[in-house]
Amino acid sequence: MMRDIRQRGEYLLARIGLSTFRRLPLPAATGMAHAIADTFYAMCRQRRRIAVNNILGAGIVSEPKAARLMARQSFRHFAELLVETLHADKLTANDNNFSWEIHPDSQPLLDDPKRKFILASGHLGSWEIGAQALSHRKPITAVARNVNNPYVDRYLKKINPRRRIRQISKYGGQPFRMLSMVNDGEILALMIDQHARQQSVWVDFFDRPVACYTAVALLPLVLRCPLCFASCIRTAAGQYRMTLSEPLSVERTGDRNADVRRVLGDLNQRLETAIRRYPEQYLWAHRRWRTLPPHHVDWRQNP
Amino acid sequence: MPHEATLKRIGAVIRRSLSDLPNLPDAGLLQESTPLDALGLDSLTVLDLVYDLQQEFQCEGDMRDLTGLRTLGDLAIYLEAMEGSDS
Repeated sequence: MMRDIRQRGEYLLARIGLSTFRRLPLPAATGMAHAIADTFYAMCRQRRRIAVNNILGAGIVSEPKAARLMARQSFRHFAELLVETLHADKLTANDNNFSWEIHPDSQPLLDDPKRKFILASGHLGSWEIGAQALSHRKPITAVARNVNNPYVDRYLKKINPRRRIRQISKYGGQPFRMLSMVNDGEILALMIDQHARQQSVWVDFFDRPVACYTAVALLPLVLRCPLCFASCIRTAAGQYRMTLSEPLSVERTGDRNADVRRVLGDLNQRLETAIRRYPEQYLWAHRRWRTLPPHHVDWRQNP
Repeated sequence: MPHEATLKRIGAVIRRSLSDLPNLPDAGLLQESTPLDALGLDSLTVLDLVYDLQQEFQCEGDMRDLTGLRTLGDLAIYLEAMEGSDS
């Protein structure tokens, strides 16, 4: 009963907030989002602490004061991303808002309407906008997870700000369905920096071990389709630089764990390099280093 | 049992690949009629298994065909047809 009341309250707030952000012009919505992000930063001590610890632990800055400043910028960036996502139709319809850095070896993957590939990215920059911009060039499928609050979930499905992206559920009852997620002529977009609770492989990220899901490495190995790394960086308000790497080396040696570790290591290294260039655009408030490998010295402060 | 040898090889791969799965049926219970659902696979472990089956049978091809298979017997027929396609 109490849970239902709480969920309805959250839904009401989300509906008012999202519909306001959608109706306001982008600059005004962005200003409001920054104010909300600042409030959230001030009030949500746990998330603030996670972000600051992650920034210090990754060695982006060494002073706590600088880490707090960067954490706040990161909160603002994320709030702005949410607003951008609600305005994605307008933003991505104009190609002048984007500069494209596509590796020449990957251009044929985009141009050939029959070729498929897997695109790996992380919670850096304006990833939602990047995916939607890319979908103007080739259809994109992404693995989506339902929002925990069923009322908010229903509302989001109704307004569907990601309407250009075909979304498939993460928790289907048919496991072999994984093999049919990448259709000919499509891109399957996967995020590589989610903490893996099970079936994980440890690789280094900012010289610290992180638990990674293996699907992003196993899918190209099993389906023998190309894998590229991509990022979409906000260069100014409403302006973005979309980068698509060359197809990564995905070779089978017969040693599954070694193959997976090598691909994941490469992807995480690329993400780390991109984050070091634009650290204020990374989602530091998520618990990337949630758990550590057995017998590993805990470097986190108040994890 | 025309696929008996193939089933034995599949069983060996399953035991090797999925040894961590809590509900994996005993080796003796893996038969031609065993539904693939009974293996307790999820979307992550299925990729481990397919990698190892491709390795064992040296096969490639459109693995999307696997989505239509229902039993270990179906899988055996499929892998027998595909065996060696990678060489």
